[in-house]
Amino acid sequence: MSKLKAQGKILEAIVAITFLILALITIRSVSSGCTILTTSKGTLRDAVNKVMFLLDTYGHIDEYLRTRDPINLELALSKLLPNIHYKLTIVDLNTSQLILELGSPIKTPFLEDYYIKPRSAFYNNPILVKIIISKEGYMQ
Amino acid sequence: MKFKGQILIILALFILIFTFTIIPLVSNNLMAIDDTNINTTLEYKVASILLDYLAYTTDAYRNYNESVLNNVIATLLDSDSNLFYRYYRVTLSSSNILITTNIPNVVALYSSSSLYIKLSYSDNKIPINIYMLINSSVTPSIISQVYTILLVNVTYVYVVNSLRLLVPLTKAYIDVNGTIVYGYIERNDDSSYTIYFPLPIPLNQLSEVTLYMGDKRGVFLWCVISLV
Repeated sequence: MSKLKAQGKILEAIVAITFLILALITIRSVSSGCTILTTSKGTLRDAVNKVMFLLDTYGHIDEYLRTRDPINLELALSKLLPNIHYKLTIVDLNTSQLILELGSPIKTPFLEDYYIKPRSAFYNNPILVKIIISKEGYMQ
Repeated sequence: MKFKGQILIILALFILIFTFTIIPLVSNNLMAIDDTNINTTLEYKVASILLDYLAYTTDAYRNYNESVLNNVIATLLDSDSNLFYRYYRVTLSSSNILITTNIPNVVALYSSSSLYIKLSYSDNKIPINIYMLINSSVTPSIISQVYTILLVNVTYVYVVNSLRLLVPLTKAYIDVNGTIVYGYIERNDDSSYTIYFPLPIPLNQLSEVTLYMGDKRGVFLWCVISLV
């Protein structure tokens, strides 16, 4: 009986140590994965921010607000974000009305960025321009 | 001794649960903190706002000067400060804006002159340092064919924080004694244009015309062309 008890304790100890090792391995992999993700995200966010700035400075957002024709905006986005899935939305901040929605729904992982245009020469209310881009292909 | 193994199992299970629930939660929050790291991204966002204000002001005040640009843009920045705080969590100080320009600038026929608006924003409290220059070189000349045509060669570029941007000119017109004459813009290359204006009255009856150039972003530059 005591022999069986001893074997049970040994078994319990083996199981516990196995769990501990597994847990430690998981912690390591999760934390190292997060480090890669954060670094990549910072660089990517910088790039997305610059893309949005270029899009705005070249006047594509203002042109859309003036003409309500998104064709040049779409062309510019396809040049600035080649082969990258995106979704661009423009929202009126006073009325919460959706002014424009371009692109397709994005699955995770994705990156989201936005900026505000408080006073455009072509639109009365402040607007929020938001872009969501797919992060597939940027994780490594 | 009897419960030692069981305690170890419970401890291991606790670590497993912690690993799969708490750590991803914490790391997500860390990424959220990374998202709000404004140091590198806010400069472009504020530059967009300042360009908006510049476009809004130069469009509303076509014959602006340095003082108008400084005052109106500072007022706009102050009036929208709640909006910036709500979205960017920063308070932009209007006293940190400095605009210099050489407009109004008289450009003589067959000579070249540079027009510019230089806008900078420097904030010591938050890490923003924006420098933007909208620069245009204007060379007017006259060609006389069937009609007398004022021909203006223009180069037009933006420089924002060492980023050179080629924002297209989309509109050009001259004010000839109160008559507005729109020009035909021909793009020669990325940054240079030739603009043709058919003059509505004989050249010898004109001493000067005011030239306005508007870009796709909505910013207007202006100058006086001396036809004497």
